[in-house]
Amino acid sequence: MSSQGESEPGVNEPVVRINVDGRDVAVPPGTTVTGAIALAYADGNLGVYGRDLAVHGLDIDVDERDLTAHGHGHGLAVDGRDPSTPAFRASGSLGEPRAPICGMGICHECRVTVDGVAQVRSCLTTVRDGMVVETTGASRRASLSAETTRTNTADRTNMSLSAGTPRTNGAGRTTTTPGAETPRTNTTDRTSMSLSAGTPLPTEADVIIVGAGPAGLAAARVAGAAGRDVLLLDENAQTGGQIWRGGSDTRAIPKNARFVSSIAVVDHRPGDRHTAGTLVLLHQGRLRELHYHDLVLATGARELFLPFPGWTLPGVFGAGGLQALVKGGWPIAGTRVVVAGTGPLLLAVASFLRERGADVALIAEQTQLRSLLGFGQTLLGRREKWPQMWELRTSLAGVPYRTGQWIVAAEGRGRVERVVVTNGTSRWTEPCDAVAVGYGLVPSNELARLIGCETDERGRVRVGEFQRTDRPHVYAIGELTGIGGVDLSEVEGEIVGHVLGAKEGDYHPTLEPRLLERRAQAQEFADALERAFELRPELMRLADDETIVCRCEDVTWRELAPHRAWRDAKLVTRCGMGACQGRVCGAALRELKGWTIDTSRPPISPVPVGAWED
Amino acid sequence: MTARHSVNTRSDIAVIGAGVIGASIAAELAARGAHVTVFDRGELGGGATAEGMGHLLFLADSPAQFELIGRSMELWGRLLPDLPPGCEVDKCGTLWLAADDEDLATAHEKTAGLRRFGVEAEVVDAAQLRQIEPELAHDLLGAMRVPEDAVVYPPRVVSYWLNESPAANRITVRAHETVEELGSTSGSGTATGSDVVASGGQRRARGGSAPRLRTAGGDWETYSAIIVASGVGTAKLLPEVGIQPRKGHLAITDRYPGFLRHQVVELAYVKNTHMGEGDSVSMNVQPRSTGQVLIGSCRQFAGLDRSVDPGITKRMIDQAIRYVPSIRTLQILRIWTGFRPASPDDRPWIGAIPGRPGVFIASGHEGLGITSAMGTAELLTDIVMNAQPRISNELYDPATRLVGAEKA
Repeated sequence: MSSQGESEPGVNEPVVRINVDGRDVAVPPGTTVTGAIALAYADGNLGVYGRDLAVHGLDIDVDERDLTAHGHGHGLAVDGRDPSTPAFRASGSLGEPRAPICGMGICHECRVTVDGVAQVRSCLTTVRDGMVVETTGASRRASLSAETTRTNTADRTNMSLSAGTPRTNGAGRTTTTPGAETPRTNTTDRTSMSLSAGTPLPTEADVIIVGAGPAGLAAARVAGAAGRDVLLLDENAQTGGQIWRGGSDTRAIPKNARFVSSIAVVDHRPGDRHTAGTLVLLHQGRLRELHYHDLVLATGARELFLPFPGWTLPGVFGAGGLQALVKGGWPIAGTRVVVAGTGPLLLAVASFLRERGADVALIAEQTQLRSLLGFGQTLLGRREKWPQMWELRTSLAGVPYRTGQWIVAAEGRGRVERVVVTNGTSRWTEPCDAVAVGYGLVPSNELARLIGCETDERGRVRVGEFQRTDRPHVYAIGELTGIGGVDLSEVEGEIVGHVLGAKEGDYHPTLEPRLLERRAQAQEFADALERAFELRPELMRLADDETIVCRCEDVTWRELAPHRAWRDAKLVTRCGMGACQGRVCGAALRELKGWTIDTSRPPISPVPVGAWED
Repeated sequence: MTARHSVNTRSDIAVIGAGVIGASIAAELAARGAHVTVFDRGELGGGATAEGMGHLLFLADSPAQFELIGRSMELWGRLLPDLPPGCEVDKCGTLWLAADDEDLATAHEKTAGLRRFGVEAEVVDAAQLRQIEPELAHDLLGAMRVPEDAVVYPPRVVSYWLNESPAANRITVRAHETVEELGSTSGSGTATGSDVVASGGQRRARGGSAPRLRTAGGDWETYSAIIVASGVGTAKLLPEVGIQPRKGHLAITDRYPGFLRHQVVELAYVKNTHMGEGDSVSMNVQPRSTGQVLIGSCRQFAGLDRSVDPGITKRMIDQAIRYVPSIRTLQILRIWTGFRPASPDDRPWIGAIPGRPGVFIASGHEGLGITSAMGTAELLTDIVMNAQPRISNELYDPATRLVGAEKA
């Protein structure tokens, strides 16, 4: 048993036994594989990732040259004794150690091998008894050891192959390496979407709602009550979206609605004479088609990550990302955390982390006090926010909250050890084991764009008064239409529910004026929030020449400099062509360079080749 | 950017299309002293060049075919070591897989064919095949191995040719400028005072008339030669050559370094891909130097509809699983479509266009554009510059083919 601390299961509590990099560990049920890996490494005995590499020196010369040439020499030496954030993978080109930042399937930095299947997003995968997890890729090792016939004349080929070698760690020597001749035929359960709540998947549904967060749940509740047959889908195992997920306030599935969990929408086909449209889903390792009459997109939002020097170090997280990871079992007790960025989310995250035993060293809010006071006035005018404010104030007593400060760099060898903070005039360092950086949210609009819904320059889906998009039978609600928080999401969901519940051609007989009023008020509050926490221009200039912008393909700020548009840069540098399909760098480059991503290609999230089989 | 302000009046020759064909021609012309302006309606290398696999392969189904491809591969062989890392050069070789006795016989035949031209090739038996590519299906009977075949990332090669190759300073690139029409100073659109006339040293209009082009919203521009290398876009400027888009699908996976070492293609490929107008699917799986795996291939005549066809995608993937069973565990990140410029007789057009003085074509390479690019560039440059062509363009010459078609 390797996990220590508050997550240690009690004597009589059920545990799930899994194997992480050759070591048996027991974790609480419901833990994500990401959380289990962090737990397994928390005792310090497994942390041989990089160091072991240096000892065994597999192709290390090529790697070192490469890393040095790129100015990322820190990539190799990870001290195995106390890696508060273990490296999950080595980046594709440079071989840098990487760890997850988003906790919700966006960044793809948490990919590991699960039961012999490589490149599985561990944050979306829940532990199962007997699961074998490798952070290094057994198939890759097998292939490398079988390296006999290939005659690579180009150095760069050798380099890219050796970039895979950091995946060989100490555990690799004790783990049975599947022989290359063993076909990996495990085609089911290989993905995060393996477990469903048992709801059989129909081939047709009256109303499909994609996303079971606040907006989707509200829409399901109202439309279901109005007699529509509602099917609610979510990529996660639970309802509640990012905001409620895993918390004590996880919301119940509305009556009159069916919920299918752990299912990914991967493609869309336009309608024909028989159906308004069809979703293609990845369900239990197979592709399934699902026709709808009406489609409600409630796919929510994700964090905006802005690159700064050192942001790829393990231990740098999104603010919401760290919260999601901790909810999935990531051990945080005793970890010294700096929370930085902007907006009320920082306070909520800091409070949550503290409650879980973290030592929150500092909250750095980039907004100036002046702007914050103005927003305080708005807040004071809203009685319903008072209890929440008071709670935060109490839970964060003693934590320094500094306005007008922001992080300009993260530093450390193989993982974050300190951050450089500035107030615009001077700079100082703040030691820490983890950094949670939150610069706000951006709409998760991949499905909407694939369907062809019009979006604005900030990626928000354009909707009319009743949440209709410009595509027939397709509605959009919640953060997808603009970042507005829970209240706005819920009221938009209710509005759609009423619209869908109305008779054909009769838009809103039951749509009460108070709903539209509530939406206007929530929108007003969201606008005030956005104005108060507007990102300062300095944040757009944090990246230096060597800062990686595209984490999947290791593309630096310098490499992007000659390019004027997203597609042009993509073609030449491979920026945005990696596993996350531009979800992280695309949003950043929209802020940094004003580039827009014009295409959305299927599948929306990775699909195993075997899913196409009959 | 408007055409008016960006015209390089030193240019002799205009190349329309900054794909792998146009860019290699521009680099070759520039290397031989010409000043070249390259137009593209989009980004450099953003068309079929970016949509395909970037497979460089030897083919010798006929001596005539080998003349162009063999020469092209020879030129590629010299260039590969000089290409920058982003070009992802991987001399992985090709394995042509035999699923049955007929395929195996074909493997022996093709191996002998390649060897006759001095190309290294060998037949490997089932046991050897399993050893060198353990992920392949165990029921395969063997393969033809062509070790000198290679893989590149073509958009980056295009950018090398246009911006970094030895004579790139003689190349002017005008991306995002669409050439709307072609003309000549004595034919359509008479020369006017507003003409921008190229003034380079060796330009001389043939037979008293010079070719011209007009960009969207721009003036007519006159050149000593205009080369149309715009792939499927050729149809708009030169409708007479009958180039049609032949749609393909490709899927790319996450990174799995070492999963495969060779590009693997089914031997039935050539048979399958030339079955005429119908849809066809042929197993073609390529390991990229990044560790990603590209899965192809299929051919359809479906206009310019870019949507992913679920039926043919499934056929393509089923075929990949048949030959590489363990590929089913790899995660597909992206599926896309692209259009090969197909000529009516499956041969590229390389040469002067009859009835259009000073206008040349290099297009219609279908799925062999990357492989044939450098040979095409050398051949067309020989023709444009009135040099003795190193190889014959008889098979590809629009003069004989178009005239022949009219007679027939």
